[in-house]
Amino acid sequence: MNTLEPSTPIVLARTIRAEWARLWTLRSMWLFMLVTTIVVGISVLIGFDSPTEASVESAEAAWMPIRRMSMLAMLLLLPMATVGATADYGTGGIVPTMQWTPRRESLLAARSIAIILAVSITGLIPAMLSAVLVTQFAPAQSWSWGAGVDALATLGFVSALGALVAVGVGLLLRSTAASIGTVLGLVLFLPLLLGNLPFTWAKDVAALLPGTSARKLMIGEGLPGLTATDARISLAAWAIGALLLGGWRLLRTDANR
Amino acid sequence: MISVRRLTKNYGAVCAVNDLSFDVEPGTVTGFLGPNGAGKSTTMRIVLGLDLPTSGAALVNGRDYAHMGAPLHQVGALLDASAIHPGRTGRAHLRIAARTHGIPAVRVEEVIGQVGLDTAAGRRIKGYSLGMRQRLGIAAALLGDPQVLIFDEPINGLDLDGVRWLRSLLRNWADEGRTVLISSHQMSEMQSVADRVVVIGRGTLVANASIEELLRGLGGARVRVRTSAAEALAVALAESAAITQIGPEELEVEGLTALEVGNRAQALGIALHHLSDLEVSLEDAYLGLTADDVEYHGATNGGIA
Repeated sequence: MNTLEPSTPIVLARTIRAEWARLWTLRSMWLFMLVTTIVVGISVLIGFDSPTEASVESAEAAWMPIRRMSMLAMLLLLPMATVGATADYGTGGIVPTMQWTPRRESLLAARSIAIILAVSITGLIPAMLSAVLVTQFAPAQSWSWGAGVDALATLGFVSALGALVAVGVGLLLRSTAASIGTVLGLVLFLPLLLGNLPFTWAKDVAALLPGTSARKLMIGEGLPGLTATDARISLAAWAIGALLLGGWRLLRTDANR
Repeated sequence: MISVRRLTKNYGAVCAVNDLSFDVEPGTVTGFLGPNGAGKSTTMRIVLGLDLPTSGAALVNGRDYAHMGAPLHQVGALLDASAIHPGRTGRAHLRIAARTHGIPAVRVEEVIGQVGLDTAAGRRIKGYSLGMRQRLGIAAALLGDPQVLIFDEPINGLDLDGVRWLRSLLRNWADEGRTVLISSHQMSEMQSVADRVVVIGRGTLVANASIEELLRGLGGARVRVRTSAAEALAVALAESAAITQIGPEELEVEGLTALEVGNRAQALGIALHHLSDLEVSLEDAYLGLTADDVEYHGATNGGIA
C-alpha cells in the first residue's frame, strides 16, 4: 500500500468527496431536497395565476414568487445544513470520521464546502426549474436574464452564508435538535419577535439578525433603514462568526466529549 | 510502533490518565489491560488524535496521528463498533472511508470479503448485530493495509468463528512485523493471543511485561497434592517450599514442581492420591496486579463483591 503523505490540497479534495458521499448517503438529505422542491415548485402555480402584463417589471415579478418560496424554503435548507453538520455527533460517527481525517482544519473546510454545495444546489435547481416553467409556459410572464441572474445569485449567496451559519452553530453545539432550534431562532423567530416589539432597541437587535438580512436580500422586505449592503455585511459577519466558533470547538476540543 | 510519553489527560477535576509512558513494539501483539475507568480508552483516543492530551504525547511510528494526511495507511483502529451512522449501508460506510484516502472501490469489496460481510454489506447498519458491527469496524481498520492496528474490545459480540478469525488475523499481523495493540477484559483470550501486556490502573502504569514475565511474577511453580499423610508431607516440604493446607488431606505447594514433590513423597514412603501442577493464569496475575486499582465494584447481597 502507498504510504506516501499526500499534500494538503489532495487531503482536502478527498475529504470533500467523502463528505459529499456522507451527506447523500443520509436519507434525510433526500427528504429535505424533495420537500424543498415541492415548496419552491409552488411558485410555479403562483406564477401561472399572476395577471401581470409582459414588461421589464413583469420579468422581475416573474421571479418574485420564486424568491418568496425560496425564502420559505430556507426553513428547510438551514435545518438540512444543520443535520449535515451534526448527524455524526448524534450517532457517534464523528469518531471514525475524525480517525479517517485527523487533520481537523481539512475536515472543517471539507464539511463546510460540501454542505454549502449541497444546500445551494438543493435551493437553486428547483428555483431555476420553476423559473423556466413559469416564463416559458405562463403567458403573462416573460424571461429576463438580468432578473434571473440577480435572483439566483442572491439565493446562492443567502443559501451559502446561511449554510455556514448552520454549520458553525452545529459544530459548536454538536446536537442536531439544539442546533436546528438555535438556527431557526436566529432566522425566523427572533427577527419576527423583536421586529414587532414596540422598543427601538429590539428593532435594532432584530436588524442585526441573519433572518432579517436574508429577508431583505431575498424579497426586499425588512426593517426601515436596512440597506442591501448592510444585509450582506451582516449575513457575512454571522457566517464568519458562527464558523469561527464552530471551528474553534472542532479544532481545539476533544472529538465528541 | 506506538510510543506513549508522560501522557496526562484531565477531564475537569478527574484525572483519567496520569503521567503514563509505554511503548508498543512492532512484531508483537500487545494486550492493553485495566479495570473499568482505568484510562485505556482515553489513552487509545489520544493516540488516535480524538482527544487532546493535557500534557505529554502519543506517537505512532514517530508521528502525531492528528497530523497524518493518510492515516489509514499507517493505523487501522476500531474503538467503538456502535459509533457508526445506522442509516447507511455497511458498504457506503466503507466507501466513505475509502474516499478519504483515494482507496479504490475494489479494495472495499476485498475487505468486505475478508471480514465475511459479503451478504450483509448492502444492508443498513441498523440491522447489524454487535458482532457484524465489529466486523465492519475491523474492515474499515484493514482498508489501508496499515502497519499498526489498535482495537478496543474487538472480541465483544463476535461469534466463535469470528473470535478464531480475529485471533489468527492479529497473530499473522504481528508475525509480519506489524504493531498490534488490543484491549480486552477477556483474560483467557488475551493470554492466548498476546505476547506482552500493558496493565494500567487509575490512569497509571501498573505493569509492562511479557505474558511469561507476568506469570513468573506470581511466585513460580505451584503444585496441588492430596494425601492422607498431609501433615507429615507438609513438615517434610516446609524447608524448601511454602505450604498451604487447603483441606484435611490437601496441600498447595509453592516453590517446587510436581516432580520434586512426588520424589520427596516417594522417599518418605508417603502415598499420594493426587498430584498436579497448578496452571497460573493471566486472570490471576491481572487480578493480583489491579486489586488496588478497581474503581467500580459491583454489589452483591452480601455487600461489595
